[in-house]
Amino acid sequence: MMNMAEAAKDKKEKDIQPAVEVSELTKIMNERIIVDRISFSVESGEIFGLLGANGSGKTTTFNMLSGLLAPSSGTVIMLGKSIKEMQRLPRPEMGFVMQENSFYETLTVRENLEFFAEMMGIPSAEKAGRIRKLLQDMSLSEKADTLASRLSGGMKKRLNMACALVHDPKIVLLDEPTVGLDPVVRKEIWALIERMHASNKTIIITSHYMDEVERLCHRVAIMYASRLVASGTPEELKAKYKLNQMEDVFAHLAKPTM
Amino acid sequence: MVKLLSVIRKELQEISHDRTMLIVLVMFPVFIMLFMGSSFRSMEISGLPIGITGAANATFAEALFSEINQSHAFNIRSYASEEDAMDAFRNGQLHAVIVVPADFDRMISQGNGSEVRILVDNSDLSLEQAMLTAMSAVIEASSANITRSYVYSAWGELRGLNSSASSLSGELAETKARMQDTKATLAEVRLKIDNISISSLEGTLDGASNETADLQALLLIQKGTLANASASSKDLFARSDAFIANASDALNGSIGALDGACAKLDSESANLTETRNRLDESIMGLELIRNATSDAVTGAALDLNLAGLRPLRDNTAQQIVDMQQEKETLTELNRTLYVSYESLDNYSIAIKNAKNKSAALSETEDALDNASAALSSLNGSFSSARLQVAALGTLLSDIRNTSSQVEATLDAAMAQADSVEQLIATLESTVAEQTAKDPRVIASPLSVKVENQYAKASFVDFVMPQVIAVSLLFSCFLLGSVSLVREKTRKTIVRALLAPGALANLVAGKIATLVLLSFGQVALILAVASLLFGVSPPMDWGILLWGTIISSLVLSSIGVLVGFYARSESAAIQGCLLIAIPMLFLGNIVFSPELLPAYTQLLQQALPLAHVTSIFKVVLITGGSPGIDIAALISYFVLLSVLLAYVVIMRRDITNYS
Repeated sequence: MMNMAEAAKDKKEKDIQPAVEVSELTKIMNERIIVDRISFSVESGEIFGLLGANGSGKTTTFNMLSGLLAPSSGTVIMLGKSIKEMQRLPRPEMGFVMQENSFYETLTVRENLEFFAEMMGIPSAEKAGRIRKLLQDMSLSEKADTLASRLSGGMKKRLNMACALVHDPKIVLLDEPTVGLDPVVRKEIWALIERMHASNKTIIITSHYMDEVERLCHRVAIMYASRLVASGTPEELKAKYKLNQMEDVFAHLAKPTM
Repeated sequence: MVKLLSVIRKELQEISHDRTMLIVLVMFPVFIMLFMGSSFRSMEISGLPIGITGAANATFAEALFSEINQSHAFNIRSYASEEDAMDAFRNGQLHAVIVVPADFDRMISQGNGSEVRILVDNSDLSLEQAMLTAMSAVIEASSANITRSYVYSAWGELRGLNSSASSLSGELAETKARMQDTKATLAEVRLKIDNISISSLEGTLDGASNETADLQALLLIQKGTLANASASSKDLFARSDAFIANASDALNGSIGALDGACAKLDSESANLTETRNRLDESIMGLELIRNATSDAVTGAALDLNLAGLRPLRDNTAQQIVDMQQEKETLTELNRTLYVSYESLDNYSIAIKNAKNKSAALSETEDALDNASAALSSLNGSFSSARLQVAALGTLLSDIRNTSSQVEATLDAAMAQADSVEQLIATLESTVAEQTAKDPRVIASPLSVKVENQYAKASFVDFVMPQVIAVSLLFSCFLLGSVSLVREKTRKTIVRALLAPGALANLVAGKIATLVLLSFGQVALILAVASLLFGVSPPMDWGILLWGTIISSLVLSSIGVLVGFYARSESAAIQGCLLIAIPMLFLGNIVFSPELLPAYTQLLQQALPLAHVTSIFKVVLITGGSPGIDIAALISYFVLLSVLLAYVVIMRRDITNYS
């Protein structure tokens, strides 16, 4: 059985153009360089991990990738389109799962999904089926009519992901999706990510958890002090730095900034 | 449009699932309506404690306090001194102190007026205004009462004066009549004076004097004549006396003779008459016998006797007649003699009279002397009289002049009397006219008839615009701002940033939802007001609809705009209050705009809440056209829409929401 990295490699061979191509991306805020000329590319169907200590600039990079923050310089090309072009699409091709839950606690699960589906321009005919599938995929069918505020932490996390994926985007950005979750929920989330990948979505994920990275990501890039200091498959990085664990590699490259 | 409706549905779903929010949304307008409705049923003050000090027991002051007591607006408490009253005032026991000056009664009695000081608690503007209004009404009423009593008193005096004037008018009329009589008398006098001709008098006097002189000369002549006549008459008298004596004797003798002849004739006539009578008797006897005698001889004898007797008898009768005629002749002669005798007597008497007259002539002579002397005296009197006539002429001239002056004076006096009469008539009519008026009207000539333009059931009707405006203000402000802040804090707004056009729809949807909620709130307020306080329904549902729409659009837009810049719900609430509180004070909610300074009124016009209140006032009370206010709010909404569009477009960066 082919592992995920091999599958990605296989897919890369099939797609010539990368799904996401970041070039010299820079963000300067208040005369401080938050992201310093980073460049990387993510192949279609690939799970790409963006790693870095707190304050290394990975969330800012995510915001620039999602279009929520305009870069000071550099370019981001997704599916052959610039961010502005992506934003003009009636139905976005990118989904952004934020670290914090971002849905309405005073709506039910279904109401949340319906609302975000309509916001993302899902046609009515497609909406119901899409929501049903999402509820099934996220194991929220039984809680469909439950107020979001009454869901458990894992369910909320799943609902948060469902809200981001309601429009069935081709590219999914996951910002520390398992932070603060217990191991059981973390595994549930991993399973969800794996199912997303199985549905041929390109996934960019940030995380502090190296076990998560090693399990999910085909390739990773490590940021340190606003700059991209290393990139490659986990195996390549471990070999390059002659370390057995990704945690060691991360510790070696991504020293927390003070 | 789908996204907009989706946002509206989402907002309504959120509210429906948020029980607290739902209760607040329903209870807030109901509570405001209940609170305002029960609190503002009446704005009249009642039983407000106020102190009085000073000459409070003065008559007019008591009248004033009686009025204040009757108003029921105030509860009066008396204080011995102003200091005591002020202590109570400062301690909050009193809201005002009335200080009556010591000379209050005296000044009022003298009609000079007086000033009552009122120390008011001006720390509460509304209470101060209500208190001053109530107190002013009471003092005006009291002042009117005082004025009325003055008017009554003045009218009493005027009526007395009028009565005196009427008496004077009567006296004047009498005086005038007397003056006119005097004038008429003067006219007569003048006429008489004019008729008196002094020159004529002088001429008369001169003539009389001349005539007197002539008379005097004549008297002298007459005196000479009288003397001659006296001598002649004496001679005549002597001869006449002799004649009378002789004639008298002759006449007496003749008369005696005649009387004797007459007596003799009478005697003879009587004899003859007796003879005749015997003859008649004889004849008659013979005739009887003859008639009785049938014997012719006897008869013839008798006839013969009768024939002899009858001529005898007739002859006797003729003699008697002749004798009678003779006697008559004698009697006539005797009568003539008597007449002559009477003539002689008359002559004798005439002589006697002439003698007497002769004696009178002597007296006449004396009288003539006297008359002559008298004439001399008279002549002297005439001279004197002439002088007096000259003096009389001067006097009459003076009298004429004086009478003219008196007439002129009388005319002037009468003219003055006329003027005085007219004046008195005017005075009478003026007094009558004035005293016929109602003293209460004179005391308070300006009566104000307040006609309530808007026939509403209670004061609650009039606070309805404010209630709705306040309800919309807080609902739209707070819900708009807090709702958007929640979108930010829950990061749901980030999803809107990721979806094309979603943020604009989110903002529009929130505002549209607030418009819908505003409808509900307005309907709820109107229902509660109608059911519990009997408030009248809106006059124009169309304007109510559009007024609610534009009002909630503007207020919601402001709330959402605040929400964009607030980082937390508390910051949003504070931001809303920062805007809402000035609006409350300047938005025709707490204070009437007319009470505010000019620049504040301008500022008020720049605040949307004033227009919101005005629109609902038109809809619920006045029934006019809120065109200007709606136009102002539309302008606001256009401006706010531009600002919101700017914010939506320019604030797409996630750093604004993290």
